[in-house]
Formats: sequence, C-alpha cells, structure tokens
Amino acid sequence: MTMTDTRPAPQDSKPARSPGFGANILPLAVITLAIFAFLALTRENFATAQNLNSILFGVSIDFLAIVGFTYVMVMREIDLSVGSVFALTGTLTGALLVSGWGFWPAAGLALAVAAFIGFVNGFLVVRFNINSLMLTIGTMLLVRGLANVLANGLGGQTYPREFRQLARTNIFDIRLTVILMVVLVLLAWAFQRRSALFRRMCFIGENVKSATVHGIRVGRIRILAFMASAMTAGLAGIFTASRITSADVRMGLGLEFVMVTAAIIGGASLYGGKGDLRGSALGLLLLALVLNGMIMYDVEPVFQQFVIGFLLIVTVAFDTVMNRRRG
Amino acid sequence: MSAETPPILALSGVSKTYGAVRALSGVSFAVGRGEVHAILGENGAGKSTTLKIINGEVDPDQGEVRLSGRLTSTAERAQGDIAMVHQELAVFPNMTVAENIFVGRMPRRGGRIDFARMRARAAELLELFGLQIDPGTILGQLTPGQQQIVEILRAVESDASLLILDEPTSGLNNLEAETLMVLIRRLRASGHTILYVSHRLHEVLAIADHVTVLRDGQFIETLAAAGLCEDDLIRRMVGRNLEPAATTASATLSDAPLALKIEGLTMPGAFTDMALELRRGEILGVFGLEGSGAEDFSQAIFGIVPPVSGRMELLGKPVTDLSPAGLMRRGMAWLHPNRKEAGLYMERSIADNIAAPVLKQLSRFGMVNRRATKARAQEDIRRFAIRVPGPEGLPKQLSGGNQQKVALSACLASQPEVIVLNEPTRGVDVGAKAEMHDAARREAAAGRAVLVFSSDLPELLRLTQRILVMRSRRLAGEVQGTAMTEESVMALAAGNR
Ligand SMILES: Nc1ncnc2c1ncn2[C@@H]1O[C@H](COP(=O)(O)OP(=O)(O)OP(=O)(O)O)[C@@H](O)[C@H]1O
Ligand SMILES: [Mg+2]
Repeated sequence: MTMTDTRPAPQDSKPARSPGFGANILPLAVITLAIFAFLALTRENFATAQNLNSILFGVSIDFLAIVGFTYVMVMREIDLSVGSVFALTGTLTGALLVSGWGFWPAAGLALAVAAFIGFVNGFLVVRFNINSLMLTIGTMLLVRGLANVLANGLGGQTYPREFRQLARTNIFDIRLTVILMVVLVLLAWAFQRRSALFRRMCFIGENVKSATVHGIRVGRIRILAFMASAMTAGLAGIFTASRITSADVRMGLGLEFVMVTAAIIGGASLYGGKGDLRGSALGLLLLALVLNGMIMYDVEPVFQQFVIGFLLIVTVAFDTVMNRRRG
Repeated sequence: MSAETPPILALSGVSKTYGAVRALSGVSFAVGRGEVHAILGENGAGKSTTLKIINGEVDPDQGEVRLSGRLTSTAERAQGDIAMVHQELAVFPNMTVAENIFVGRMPRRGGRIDFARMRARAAELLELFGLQIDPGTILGQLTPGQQQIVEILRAVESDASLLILDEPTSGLNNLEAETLMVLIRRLRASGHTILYVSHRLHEVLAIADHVTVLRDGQFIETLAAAGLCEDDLIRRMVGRNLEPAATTASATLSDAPLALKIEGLTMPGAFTDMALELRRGEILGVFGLEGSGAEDFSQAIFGIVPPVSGRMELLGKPVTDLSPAGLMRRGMAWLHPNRKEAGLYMERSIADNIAAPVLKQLSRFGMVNRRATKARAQEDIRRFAIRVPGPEGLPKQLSGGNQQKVALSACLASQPEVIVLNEPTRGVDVGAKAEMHDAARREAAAGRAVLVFSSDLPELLRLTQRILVMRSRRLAGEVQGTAMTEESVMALAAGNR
C-alpha cells in the first residue's frame, strides 16, 4: 500500500516543543535576576554577604523539601502534608536527641516515619482513588497535631550542640545544604532530560489511562513519589530543626503553599504532565527575594502572608488559563 | 438553486494555516438548502478544519463564509443557527444523558427546568436508536458508542437548520449507522441542511446529494452523488487509482500453537463464561452490538478491569499477573478503542508517544536513548505514512486519522506476540485503513496472533478469518469461512433468527 506517502509531508514546519522541560527556565531566571538587580540597586543593605548568604541558606533548605513535591505534581497529584511532615521529622529528630539517642539512629527513625506517612498517602490515593488534595489536607492536620504534641513536650528546650551544628556545616566555606542543592539540581537536570522514570511520571500526569494501557506501573510509581515527597520534606525538616535550635510549633507552617507557588512558577502545573526541579529552585529563590525585599522596604511582616496568598492565586490562575488553552 | 435564493452556505477563498502547516488553502464551495452534502478527503485533507470554520470555532486566515448570502463573522456563526457533532466526543461525562442532550436549552415551565418533559423527550430520542437507557444515567457510564449517539441526538434536538456531522458513525455499529441514515433522511425531508463527513464511503453514497472533495487542503471539485461508485470517490480523494482492498486468506491454523486461551471468564454484570482460542498466525474477530459485553470482555482480558473468575493462558503459560503491565511484559499489547481517552499523550511529542510502551527497551541503566527514540518514531512515521512535520510534532496538532496512526504505532512498538486491537481504524481514510489492515496481516503472517474488536462489521469480515459473536453478555456463536457474512453475524448478534 503506497498511497498516502506520495504526498509530501509539510517539512518546513517548526516542530512544537513538548512542554514540561525547561520551557520557562530562561524567562524565570531573567525575572529573578531583575528583582535581584532592583533590590541591589535600591537598598544598600540587600547586597551584603550576610544577607545574601542567609537568603541562599534558607532557599537551599526549602529546596530539599520541594524535590519530591515537584515530582508529585508532575504526576497530577499534590502533597499538602509536606509542611507538617517537615515539622514532625525535624522535631522528632530533636526530641530523640534530647532523650539521648545518637544522631544517625534519631534521624534515621524520623526519616522512616516520614517515609511511612508518604507511603500511607500514596497507598490511599492508589488503592481507593482518593483525591490527593483532600487526603493530604487530612494528613497535614493529623501530622501537625503529632508534631505539636512533640514540640509542646520539649517546651522550648534547645537541641544538643552537635545537632545545632549540623545545618551550619561548611564544606570549603560553603553551607552543606547549598552544596546539596547544587548537586541535586544537576542530578535533576540529567534525570529530567534522560531518565525513563521521569518520562513515565510525565505520561502518568498527562494521561493516566494511556499510561496504564502502555504497561506503566502507575500505582507503584505514585506510591514512590509520595514517599519521596515526604522523605525530602523530612530531610529539610531535620536541617531546619538544627537551624532554629529548638522546638517550635510554627515550624513549616504554610510551607506547602510556598511550595505550590514556587513549583508552578518553576514550570509545574496543577494539571500534571510537567514540572522542573530547576524551575522550582528558581521559584523558591524568587519568592525568597520578594519576601526579603519586603523586609528591606520595611513592609509590615503581616503582609508576607498576604503576598504569598496573592502570588499563589496569580500563579494558579495563570496555570489554569494556560491549561484551558492547551486543551 | 435558482438565481434568487442564495445557497444556505457558501465558502470562498477560505484559507487556514497552523504555524507552517497549511490546513486549507483557498477553499470555495457552496451547499444548497435542504440537501445532504458530503465532504470527502484523506486524513489531514482539511475536512474538520473546514467544518470548524463553518461552525465558528476556528477563525480562518482568509476568505469569506456566507450564510444564505450574508457575509458572516466567526463570532456570528458561533452563535448562529448551526449545530455540530464533533469528530472527537465533546460530551459532559459527569452529567446525565438528558442533560447532555438538552445542554443549554433545557425545556422550561414557569421559569424552572421541566425535568419530566426533558426526560420523556430524551427517552423518546434514545428509543430512535433502540437504546433503552434511563435518561437520568450519568453519561460517563455509557459505552463510547452510546455517548456518540447522545452527541448526535443533542445536535438533532437543537433543530438548527444547518447540521454538521464530522464522522458521526466512526464509533457506531451497522445498525446504529443505519438508524442515523434514516434520521438524516428524515431531517432532510423536514428542510434541514446536513454537512456530512465520513470515511465510510457507502454511507456517503447512500445519503449524499452532493459531494465536495478536498485534497491537501485544496478544493478539488463538487459533484452530484447520483450514479457514482466508491471507486469514483476514492480516485478523486487520492488523485489516482487504488488497488482493490485485499481480504485475508483463510488458512488452516488448527496445528499452529495457541497464543491465547481463555476459559470460563466471568465478570458479574458484564459478561459470563467467555471462552476463546487464538492461535499464532490467526486474526480473530469479536463482534457484539452495544451492551453485548464485548467491550467489557476486551477490557477484562487486558486486566484493565480484572475479571472475577476464569482462566487465561498466554503463549502456553497461565497468566498470573493479570494487569496491563504484567501482560505487556508477557508479550501482549492492547489498543484502546477511543484514542481521545487513552493511547495518546496530546501534549508530548510523537517520538515520546511511540516510545511510551517501550521505554525500557529504549533505555540503558534507566536512561533513555533519545537518538534511538527519534529514529524509531521516524521509522513509524514512514511506515504508517503519518502526516506530521516530524517526530517532535504533537498529536493534538494532527488530524483524527493521523492521531489514530500514532496510537497504533505506539501499540505495536513493543513488538507484541498477541495483539488486541479495539476499533483499530476508527476515523482513518480508505487508504490508511488498507495500510493498517496490511500491517495486521503482516503481523499475523509473522506468526503473531491478532484479536480484533470492531463495531465496523465490513472491516471484520475483510480482515479476520473467524468471528466470535457476543449477545446479552455471553458468547452467542462463531462464524467462519464461507458462512461469514454480514447477515449471519448480525443474526447472531441481534438474536433474530
Ligand atoms: N490545532 C492544530 N495545530 C496544528 N495543526 C493542525 C491543528 N489542527 C489541524 N491541523 C493540521 O491541519 C491539517 C488538516 O486537519 P483536519 O483535522 O482538518 O483534517 P481532516 O480532513 O479532518 O482529517 P481526518 O480525516 O483525519 O479527520 C492536518 O495536517 C493537521 O495536522
Ligand atoms: Mg477530521
């Protein structure tokens, strides 16, 4: 049969790009740089080594938490329990240390607890097809309760000295978490560009029925992603607990909303099928610069909440409009 | 058409490009009031684009569209007295059947929606197609064919004077398609004008008064349908003669090894006690009308909705992991009956689409070999003559038939030994259909086993050597060889002997 192939296919047409990979990294980097330049030029105490270091340090810790979170979003799910898991893992590690455990067993157990919470999230989503948004709001409340019980039990006691030192660990004068962030961004770059797993996640996020028919083990990958999300949140929680030196019931409050906003700014979508950890990192940096800028301009701290909420609405609206257009 | 009454619809010099793809260039034709006017062309010829421009969904780059002589804008037409059934289902799966039929114009009494009247009228309309469905059923629970009928009924009920049907029968079986033909004749008799697109040429010849042929986005000609035969139409569509469609030789296969054996497969409420034996080298058909359980059966044997009891043997070994992933690993592949629902990723490149089921083969240490992925896509694009700019193109930019080719390429990518095809040629043109049938025959000739579920009975008769017929959720019988005719299969399927 040769009939349709006699027709020339339109060769000159410029191929459209698959989304989900690096599409908005460049514009995002430009915007972030612009904000940076603006603050550096208008506020003299912005571009100080100390201020910049502290921004980068904060971003590098939050970044750890957004790793798994971003990939859950790629699969068209969401994990709103990250903030609570972050708090529980950090506080639990501290509590165990206070009661005399060694660091590795304490951190190991806390991370195992985080992994278990992630597993439960994933399992319930897969097995009973529960909407992950509602489910993880439930987990968020439940885990927050546990974290608060622990924090209250500690009653503001400071953590042991060695643990407080952890977050301040430097390698060649650079914070350990910053180095971790750079390494993870490089790994993510390769992972997103080349790995079969990331493609599977994108396929699941875009059309889970197609993915099933194509023999992709959807359930298994979903559970793994939720576990990864909880564990990276937990890791960030451990560093944060070390950084703030004592138990605090406000730890990680509202973190999930910062994550959603940053991930969508970075190229993820509530409608799944895309996401980019490099973008998420830039998104976090952008948000941190905005918040820092507000402090530099002496804006009342209460407005921070307002700005995060505003940016969340704007990004979600933008994401929804773009999604409608692509449908 | 007399000089005084202008045609109800006239296009002149209509052009449309998508990026660098010329979908239409300078198309001009007219449609007379009260006629059935068919538009023919190969996949990607520009039929759907033309219809969407007429319906006011797509803005043409150039050209005019006149309705009854009056120049209209895209926005006016979108609001106008036109109803369209889209090639791809455009229904509300979470609303009831009745709501889907009456969407936007529910009957009212005293300012409230008159649900009783709405339901009664919906039931009446469904009855036209012999569907005994409660109008209060949630649409998503119906089979795709039934949903298609609901969409047709929505257009019919709108009572628009210009009715546009883009491949309305692609998901319907013969009986339902016949019913639609009757309905269209009735609408024509009551003064409606119908624009009709279908790749089933016998339908076109049966109902069209005029035929307009498009080729590569260009208008070729408009001619009266009377006295034409299918070959006339094909020649005009492709611009040359086409070899007669081949049929599959009925070989004796009784000694070939069994590829798939199913015994006593049961899923309560869906089907009971199903059995089949499929041998290597064989193309076996399964046919059933809506509600016969054929569709559920197909899903069950791929583990999408696992059956409750029964035995399955694949390539001589019992199936232990009855899930799509498990079965694919054991050499089975399954084409989804509705490409819009599953089988494609509209936002990802063609190369990614075709690689999806075979990511493992295309990667080493979990890393995908992108060059191999692209090469493979290029090969399939050539093999199936898919009309795309290149492997980086997205399925959503393709015409329906070309999307189907991508879905089939993905299905065959894993070089499966047992291939289950559901509605494999839905919406593809005559030439491509023959190519796909050849592809299936090649697979069989190479010792693979092919199982085809299709509502297109002529297709099954041509392609398969044996047909299992389902009725009332169980096996009604089997026909093969010379006993395999449209009549014998329909007699079994409908149960009127
Ligand atoms: N949204 C789009 N973006 C880019 N290209 C498009 C888009 N829609 C259609 N095209 C291109 O326009 C051409 C005509 O498409 P159209 O859907 O009108 O074909 P068709 O005649 O209806 O084919 P089929 O029989 O397969 O349904 C095709 O080459 C298609 O790839
Ligand atoms: Mg079309």
